[in-house]
Formats: sequence, structure tokens, C-alpha cells
Amino acid sequence: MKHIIKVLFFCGALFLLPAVMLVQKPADYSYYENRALAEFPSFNMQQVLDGTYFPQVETYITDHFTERTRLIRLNIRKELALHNPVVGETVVTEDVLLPYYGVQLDRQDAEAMGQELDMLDKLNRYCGQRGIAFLYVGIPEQGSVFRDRYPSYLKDSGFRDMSLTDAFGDSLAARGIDFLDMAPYLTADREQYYSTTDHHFNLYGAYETYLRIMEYINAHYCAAPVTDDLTITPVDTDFLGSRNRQLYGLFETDDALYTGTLAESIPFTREDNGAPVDATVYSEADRDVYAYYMGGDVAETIIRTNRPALPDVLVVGDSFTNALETILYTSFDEMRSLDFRYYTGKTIYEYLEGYQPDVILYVRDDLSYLVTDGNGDLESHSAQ
Amino acid sequence: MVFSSLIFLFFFLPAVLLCYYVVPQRFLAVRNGVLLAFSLFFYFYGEPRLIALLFLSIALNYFFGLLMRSPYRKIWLALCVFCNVAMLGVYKYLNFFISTANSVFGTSTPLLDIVMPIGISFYTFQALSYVVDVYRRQAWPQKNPFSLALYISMFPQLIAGPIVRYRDVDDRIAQRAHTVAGFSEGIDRFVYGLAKKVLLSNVFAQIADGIWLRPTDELTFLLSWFGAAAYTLQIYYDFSGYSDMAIGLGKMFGFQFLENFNYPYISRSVTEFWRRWHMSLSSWFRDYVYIPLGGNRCSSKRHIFNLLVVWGLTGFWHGANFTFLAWGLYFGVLLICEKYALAKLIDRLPRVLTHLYALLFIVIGWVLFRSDTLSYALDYLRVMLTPSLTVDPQLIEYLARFWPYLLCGVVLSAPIYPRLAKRKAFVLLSYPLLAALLVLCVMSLLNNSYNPFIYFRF
Repeated sequence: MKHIIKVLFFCGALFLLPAVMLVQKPADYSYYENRALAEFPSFNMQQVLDGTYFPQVETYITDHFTERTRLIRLNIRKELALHNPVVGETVVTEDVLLPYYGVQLDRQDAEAMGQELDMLDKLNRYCGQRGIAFLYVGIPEQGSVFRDRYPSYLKDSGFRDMSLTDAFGDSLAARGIDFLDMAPYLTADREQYYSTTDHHFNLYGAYETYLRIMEYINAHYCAAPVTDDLTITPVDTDFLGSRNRQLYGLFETDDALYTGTLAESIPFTREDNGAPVDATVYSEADRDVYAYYMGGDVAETIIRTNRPALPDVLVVGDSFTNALETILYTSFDEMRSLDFRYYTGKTIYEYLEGYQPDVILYVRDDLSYLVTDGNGDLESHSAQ
Repeated sequence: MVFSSLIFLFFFLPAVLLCYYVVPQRFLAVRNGVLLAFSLFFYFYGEPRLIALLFLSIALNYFFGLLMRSPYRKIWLALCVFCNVAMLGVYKYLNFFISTANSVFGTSTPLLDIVMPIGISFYTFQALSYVVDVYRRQAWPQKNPFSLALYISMFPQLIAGPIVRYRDVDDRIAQRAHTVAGFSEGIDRFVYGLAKKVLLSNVFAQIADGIWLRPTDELTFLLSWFGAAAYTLQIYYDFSGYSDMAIGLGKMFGFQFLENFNYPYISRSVTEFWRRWHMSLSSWFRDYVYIPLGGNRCSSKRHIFNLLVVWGLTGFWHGANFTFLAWGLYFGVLLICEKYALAKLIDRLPRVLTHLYALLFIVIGWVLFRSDTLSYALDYLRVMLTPSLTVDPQLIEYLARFWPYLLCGVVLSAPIYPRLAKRKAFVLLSYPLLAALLVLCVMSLLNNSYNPFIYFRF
């Protein structure tokens, strides 16, 4: 009898779980992984013969398995209950979530740094010839700022190699490229300026960055108004930071998302990727994640405030620009934002042929200083 | 397709079980046909083009088996061995020989675009064992090509063993009992094997890979030993886990495959280790290479030669690399030393000391096995033999992260389970334990996307 029970349970699980999976309507998006889930691959004999078809089927099954989210959450709970200091790619401390990079094979590369500096040098000279101010804004990533919070045994093995980062800043200055290093400002009060469960700074950090940028612009380039009456308040929903998202929101935290309110609103129009969209810098549909700011990463955003007396700005960079832009537009007539991870069709030079701002802000987090693709490559995005 | 994948567990396995058991018991030939069809699909899934080689191997060995009753059977046997070894030689070793020749003679012969088919080492050895057993009149030639195809390609042991002897299964192909108790035992073996692979081996792999990725000049004494120990555990749980799954699956279909591992890390000597580790391979080499060469029924010089040939081949069977050859010969030399010099001493020494002695040389052997090149292996061993108390943060990290798994890995490498299995309390607990292990494995598989077996490409 005991054998029959075991066989029934085992076979029951083997048959029931895939049956439920096949009957259920498959989801197309994973909220916690922030990605589209795999679609079932169309049958292709060539792919079967070259061995690429069945792995796609396996990916589909892994993505849509019965109770997938619940089982993954259970696995994470198990790891947290065992007080595993590293869960997935996240270092779990008492109150801060940090990135885990593991064994560092890729040391920072002097050649990559040279390549990046050459690109920036060329762009800086181009801007100089056309009367465009070019400012490199460096922002420490959350993991850099809280590096001392790693357990002692993970301080070096857990974090990325940053051996060339300081040299990079000095090299920018040596090539005459204006560099605003936000590290001294933002690390002065990291608990105020940074999220503990997301890799970005929070809106306080973005606002401090905005103030320092405007201070620099007014001191060195041109006159532009500074918004100093912004009221920052927490958003009334639980914040799911990017690192806590990897833990399926299971890390208990009082980390918050913030919203900014202007004393006097400034009307504007907005276009995303050439199409008009709602004139808002906060995405109500994303009130619990960093994509709340500007609706997340967009290839090209244009905000026009119809104040021709004010200068124009072009912002280039990754998601760190998103929170910054929610305030930055208030100081300019037109603010354009490009994210070359998604923007294709023109190089930066081709883009500048059609749009000449007064200031270009090139915003990079310190882990991306030496990255030579995405926003680290402004010259390879021409139309085919 | 690997056993430790969701597609195997929840699609392939239920499908084959359903199609197999929906056929009434009295139509065993049809059941065999179902098993054969699924086995061929199993292989096709991983090798859609090179399944042709499997068919060729089956066809060749089928005809050679029939020819073992002819008067010229010695010639046919020689031809059979040549064909099988040639197939293995071309697909597994040809590029190695070409690159070695290029290094030695300074030539630059281009390497061929050859991909080694999955499981070729295993199914070639199985096919050879069939023909040789028929030649030796230890088995009858199989006249049904589908039955022979089933023996060679049966999916539980096709990819990574155990190497099943034809004479151990030929009667079961024609007639076998399917009992609930047998199926239940199969479930136990399969789930425990799956847990060994997914919950233990994969974790030890993370540790070993993380340490082995580092250049040897960055390693410390303690970290190098930790890495070697991690790999020692990884390969045991990976391979024995797979064997458990294969044996469990065999039981589900009424087959009784022989054991492949018998707690090798409790061995007191290298000789004992090789009676407990990958038993199907060592017995294959004993029966088909060592004994035909003369075994130990010859002069000492010849015996030593036979041992070195067998162990060189054993090492080389594992991979086309000098590290594997060195690993095999390393154990050959140790076995010779134990046979001719150390046997009595080992018998007299306390268990603890001999156990440590055996573990020491086993772990060193795994360093040779794991390393990509001989020079890396020697550098790694140099670090292991240069004592220092420096504690690398990576060592602390791995201990902090994986101590429960390390504890389980060490404890369960001893025969704890056979003792526990006899107790009534454990029998009661085994049901929820099996369920929990299965759930944990599925959770882990969902979390990780890809976990191939070490022996997948052998």
C-alpha cells in the first residue's frame, strides 16, 4: 500500500504540474524580473537540426512553469532563512542590499579607458567648436557608496574592480573635459541621497545632483534659473527597488520612492521617440519602481517648456538621468534626453547636426565610466 | 536533454511512462518499442545530426554480433573493435592528436570541424561489450535489431552510464517484471539522485568553478585545498547522482542496472577507491582490456605494464587531454605501489590514517582531472603543497554562503543512508523527505537555468 501511495503521488506530480501549465493562459511578462517571458518557438526544422530549437522550448517551459513565481519566492525565502549572505546576485546585509559580482576576471581595462577618453575628447572638441558646453557628470552607484557595508570577506571579492575609476576622473581633467564628480556631495549623506534597495540614488540624490549641475552651469557656461522650491515627499506605495526586485520583494525594508512637487508648476509638452505623450515626468503606472521617474528608459525624450529665453540642454546617459530629468527640465527651454542603449538611427554627431543645445550633460554612474558600449559608444548608432 | 531539467522531469518522463504503461504487460515487445522510440528521441533532442552515428554503431554492432557465430569470428571481432575504436578515435581524439602532432613536429595541420557526440564513450563501450560477450560465448547474438538498439540506446544510461553489460540485461529485455515495489524503489533512487545533482553538486560546482577561475598565483594554500575539496564533492555528487537517477529510471521500467558507486570516499586505499568509484567502467576495463592482456597472471614486469596500459586508457577515456592521461597513469602508479609495496602497511595502520592517506591522493588526483592543462595542474598542486595560514576572503565567503551544503556533502558521502533506511522512523519520514527534495529540486531548477552533467560530453 505504501508503495502505491508513493507511486501515485510521484506520478500525480509528474502529470499534474505540466497539465496545469499547458491549460493555463501563459503570462507574457514577469514583473519581478522586469522582462518579457519567452514565447513558444515556432517549429523550424533547420533550428531542430542545428540544435537551437529545443533550448528555446526549454526556456519557454522554465518561464511558464506552473506556480513559477511562487516556487522562486519559496527558494528565496529559504535562502534568506538560512541567512545566506548572497542570494542570487544580491548581497543581503541587515539594512542594505548590494550587488554581488563574484570572481573578478575582468579587471578594468586601460585600453577601454583610453578608448572612452578618446571618444569623449573628440566630442568635447566638436562641442567646443560649435559653442556647446560639454559637462561629464559622474555619479557613484549605490554599491560604490555603501561599499563599506559589505561583509569583510566580500569587500573585494563581491564588488567590481574599480582600480581605474579614480584615474579616469583625473584623465578627463587632463584632456580638458569638464567633469563634475558628484561623489564628494552624495557620499556626504548617503542615507539621505541613496536607496538601500535599489542601485540608483533617490530623488533627494537626484535633486542634489541637479543643484550641483546648475551651480556648475551658471558658474561656467550660461545663466539658467535654479529650482530651489521643490518639495520632496514619499510616494504612498511600497517601493520595490531593483535589488529587492531580484529578491521578489522579500527583503523587509522601509526604503521609499519619492516624488517632487514644484511650488509653481511649469507647463510643458513631451514627446517620446517622436510621438507626443502625456505631459508628465512621473509615471503613475509605475508608482512602486524607479521607472516612476520619466516612465523608465526611453530612447529619446523631448520636453519643451516654451521659454525661448532659457538655454537648451541635451542629456545623455542611462537610467540615472531619469530621476534627474524630473527636475532638470524646469531650468531649460528645451530638454532632450538620449539613451544610446535604445536609440538608433544617428550617432551623436548626426544628432547634433539637427539639434544644437547650449549644454550637453553626459551623465554616467561610476561603474559605467569605462564601459564602451551602450551610452559608452556614441558613434555607432547610425542608420543602416 | 538532461535528467535534471524541467522538460525531462515534467514532459519527457511522464510521456514515456504513460505511453509505456498504457501498453498491456503481455505486449512486452511493444513496450520495448515505446522505450526504444523515446530513447532515440531523447538522443535526437541533444544530437539531431549525430544520431546517425548512433544508428551506425547499432547497425555495425548488430551485424558483428551475428558474425560472432561464423568460423572467422576472430577476424570479425578484430574488425569490430577497429570500427568502434576508430569511431571513438575520430570523433573524440582526432583533433587532440592533430594538435599534439603540431606541437611536437612544428607543423600547422588545421583541426577538423568535429563535434564529439554526446555519450559516444558510453554507447561505444556498451556496444563493444555486447560483441565481445557474444564472441566469448557469454551471451547469445541478439537477432532482433530493435532489442539490440534498445540495449545500446536506452535513455536512462545512454548519456552518462552506468556502462551496462549486455549479459546483465539481455534476459530482461525479453522478459521482466514490472512491480509497484520496483517502481517505488525507482522513485527513491531517482529523487535522491536528482537531489544529489541539483541541490549538492551544483553548489559545489559554484565553489570549485569560482576558485579554479582564478590564476594560480592568486590562490592561497587553504583556498587551493578548499577548491580541490569542493571539486572532489562536486564530481562525486554529480556522477553518483546521475547514476542513481539512471538506476532509478531503469527500475521504473523493470530493469536492474548494477551499482556504479559505493561510497568511494570512505576508502582506505586507492585500490579500494577504485572498487567503489565508477565500478562499471573499471570492471569494463578489467574484463575487456586487463584480463585479455594477461591481468596479474604473468610476470611482475608484465603485470605492471598491464596496469599502466589499463590506467592510461582509463584516464584517456575520460577526455582528449594530457591531464586525463596523467590522471589515469597517476592512479596506475599508485595502484602498483600499493600492490607491490604498501598493501601490508595499509592493512596494519589505523583506519583514520589510511583513510586520510587515501583521501589525500584522491583529492590530488581530482586536481589533475579538473585542470585544463598539465601546467595549470602542476601550478595548482604547487600551491597546495606550500603551506601557509593566509586566509583568502573568498574562502570565508564560500564557507559563509554554503556551509549547510558542505556539511551535508561531507556527511552524506559516508554510508549514512543505508543505516538510516533500515530504521522504521526513517521509513515513515522518507515520504515527506522525498516530496520535500523534489520540491526543493524544482525550486532550484527554476532559479538556475542551465546545469549540465560533468560526464555529459564523454
